[in-house]
Amino acid sequence: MLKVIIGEDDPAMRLVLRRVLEGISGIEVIGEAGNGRQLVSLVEEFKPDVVFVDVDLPEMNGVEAAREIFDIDPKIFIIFATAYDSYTHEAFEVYAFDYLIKPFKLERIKQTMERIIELKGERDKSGIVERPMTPLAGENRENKNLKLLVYSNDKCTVVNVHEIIVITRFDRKTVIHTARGSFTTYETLKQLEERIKNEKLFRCHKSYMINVDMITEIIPFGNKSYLVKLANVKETAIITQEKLKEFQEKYCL
Amino acid sequence: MDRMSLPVLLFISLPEAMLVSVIGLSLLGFKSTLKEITLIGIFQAICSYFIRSLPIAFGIHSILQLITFSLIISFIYLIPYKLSFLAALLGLSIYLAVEMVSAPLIFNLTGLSLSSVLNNFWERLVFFLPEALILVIIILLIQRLNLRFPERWLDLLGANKSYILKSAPLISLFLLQFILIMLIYLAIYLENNSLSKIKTFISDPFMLILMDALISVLFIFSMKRIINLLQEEIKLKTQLDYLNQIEELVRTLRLQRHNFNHELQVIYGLLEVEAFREAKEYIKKYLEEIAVTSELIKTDKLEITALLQTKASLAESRKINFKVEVKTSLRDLPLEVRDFNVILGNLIDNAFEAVERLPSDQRKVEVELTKDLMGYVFIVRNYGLPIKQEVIEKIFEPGFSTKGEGRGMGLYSVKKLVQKYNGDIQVKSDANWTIFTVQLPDKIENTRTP
Repeated sequence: MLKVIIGEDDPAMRLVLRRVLEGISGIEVIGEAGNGRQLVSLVEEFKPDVVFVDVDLPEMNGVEAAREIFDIDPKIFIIFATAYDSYTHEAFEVYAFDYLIKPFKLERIKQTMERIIELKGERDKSGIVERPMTPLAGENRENKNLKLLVYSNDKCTVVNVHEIIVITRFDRKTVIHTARGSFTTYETLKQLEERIKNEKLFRCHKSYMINVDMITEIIPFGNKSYLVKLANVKETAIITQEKLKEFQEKYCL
Repeated sequence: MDRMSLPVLLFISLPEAMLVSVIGLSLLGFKSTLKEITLIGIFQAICSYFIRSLPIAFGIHSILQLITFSLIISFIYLIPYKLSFLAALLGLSIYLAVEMVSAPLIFNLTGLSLSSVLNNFWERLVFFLPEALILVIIILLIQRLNLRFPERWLDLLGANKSYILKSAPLISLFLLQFILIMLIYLAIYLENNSLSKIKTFISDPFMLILMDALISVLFIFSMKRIINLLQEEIKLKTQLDYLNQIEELVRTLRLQRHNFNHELQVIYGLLEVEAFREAKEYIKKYLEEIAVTSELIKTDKLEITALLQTKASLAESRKINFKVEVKTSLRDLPLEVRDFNVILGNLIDNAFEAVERLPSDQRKVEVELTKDLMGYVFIVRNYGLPIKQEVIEKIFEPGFSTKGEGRGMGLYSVKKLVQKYNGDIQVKSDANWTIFTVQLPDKIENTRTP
C-alpha cells in the first residue's frame, strides 16, 4: 500500500486530489495539510511514500517544505503542483519527482502514481549485489587506512573511510551506510564532505554522497533525476541529471 | 611658410601623427595595430607637409590638419566620420595640452627661438622629444588603467549605434571649443614671447575675430544639443513611469492568471470526480469574491489611465471593490503627470492597505476625479476603521507610519507634492469612511515662468 499525504491550501482542491488518489488501487491517503509547516510535521509523524505539494502554500512554501521533507527521508516521492507556467526554481527541480502544471488532467496523477509504484518496486527489490571493497584513492600511496570518527549521542564509532558505500540523510540526521551496518551522526553532509574530501566519494545530490566504486545500476527516475543502486547495501541513492553528467565526465570512459 | 625637410617629415611629423592617433583611438577603446598606425602616420605626415607649406598664419594649420587627420583615420579604420573626428579631436586636444606645457618650458630652458627651431632639424628634434616622451607615457597610462572616453563606449557601440550618433557631435563641439581656445592661448604666448619672432593668426585681427565667432557658434550649438537632450530625458522619464505602471499591470495579470488556472483546475477536478455540489458552491463563492466593477477605466491622459487600470487589477486580485469616477478632463492638468501619479498612487495604495484586513464584502475603495470653481478636486475614499484624531494630526509628518519602521514617507511626499503646486490635502475620518481630499488650483501662477 502506497501512503500519500496531500499539502494543498484550497480545501476544494484537496477534495479533488483525495478522490482521485483513492480511486487508484493500492493507494491510501493518510493525511492532508493546509500549510507547509503542518505538512512537514505530518510527514515527520506518518512517514508517507508520496507527498503532493502545492508550490505556494502559506506559512512555509512548497519548495521549503520539500527541502525539509528530503531531510526527513529523501526516499519520499515529492510531486509538485503549481499554476506558475514558468517556475524553474533550482530547489524545485532537485526535489521534485514530478511536477504538474495547473490546469492538468487528472489522468496525469494516475500515470505518475503508477510510475511510482513501479519504481518503488524496483528500488525495494531484494538481493544485494556483492562486490569487494576497493581502497579509496590516494590511500595506497601512503599505505594508510584512514578512519572516520563518527560521533553520535554518547559514543564515538570508528568507520574506515574506504568502507563507506553511501551517506544520506534520514530523520534530519546523517546516516553512513557500510557493508557491516549503518552509523548515524549529527554532522551535516556538507561537513562530512569537507572532512573526508576523497575523490571516490561523490556528492551526487543534496541528500546523497556515494562511493563511485560501488555503483551497480543507474535507472531513470523522476524529473531530471536517476536512481542509483549500490553494491553490498540495500540502500539506494538519487543522482541529479547535472551530477550524472559530472560523474560521466569524471569517472567514465 | 614652413617648408619641412625630409628628416623632419620622417622623424617628427610621422611619429607625432602616430602618437596622436594612438591616443585618440585607444581613448575610444579601439585596439590598433602597428601597421594601421604607421599608415595613418604616413598619410598625415604627407598632408602636414603640404598644409605647412601653405601661406597661412600659424594656428590655422592645426585646424586643417585636424580635418585631414580625421578623414585619414576614418578611411583606414573604416569607422563613421563622426567617430574618427572624435578620435582626432581627443588625440589633438591632449597633444595640444601637452604642448602648452612643454613648449614654454623648453623655450625658456634652452633659450631656443621658434624661428630657429622651425629651420633646424636637430633643434626641432630636441623640441619634439620631451613631448613625444610625455605622449608615450600617456598612452601607456591609458592602456594600463584601461581608460575609456566615455566609459563603456564600445559596449554601447555594439548595442546601440544611435548613442554614438547622438553623443559624438556634442562631445566634438566641446572639444573643438577647447582646441580653439588652446590655439589662441598658444598663439598669444608665441606672439608675446621675445624669443620667438613669428607671426601667428592673432596678429591678424580678422582671424582672431573669426576664431572668437566660431567659438560662440560652437557654444550655441552645444547648448542647443544639451537642451534637446534634457528635453528628451524628461520625456523618457515620463515614459519610464508609464512602463513601470504597465509592468505592475503585467505582474498583476500574471497573478490573476495563476489564480485563474488554479480555480479552473479545482472546478474541472470537482466535476471529474463528480463532486457536483462542491463544484457549484466553489463557483458561487468565486463569483461573489470577484469585484463587481471590472469595466475599463478611461481618462483622457494615457499615463493616468494606466495607473488607474493597474490599481483596478490590483484591487481585483486583492478582492477589493474599487470604484473610479472621472468627472472631468485631465488633459490640462496643471501638474506633471509623474507627480500626479505619485499623489494618486500613494493615496490609493494606502486605501488598499487600510481595507485589506476587512472581510472581502466590506473592502471598498472609491476614487473621484472632479473639478469645482476653485480647481481640481481628487478624492480617495476607503471604507474602514476610523483613524484617531491624534494620528490624523501626525499623518503627513515624514517617517510617521502605523505600519512599522522604514515606512511612512508616502503621505509626506504626497503632501510635499501637493504644496509644490499650491494645493491642499485634507483627511477626514468617521465611522464609515476615511476620505483624503486633494485640491489643486486650476492655474498655478507662482510656478509658471512668464
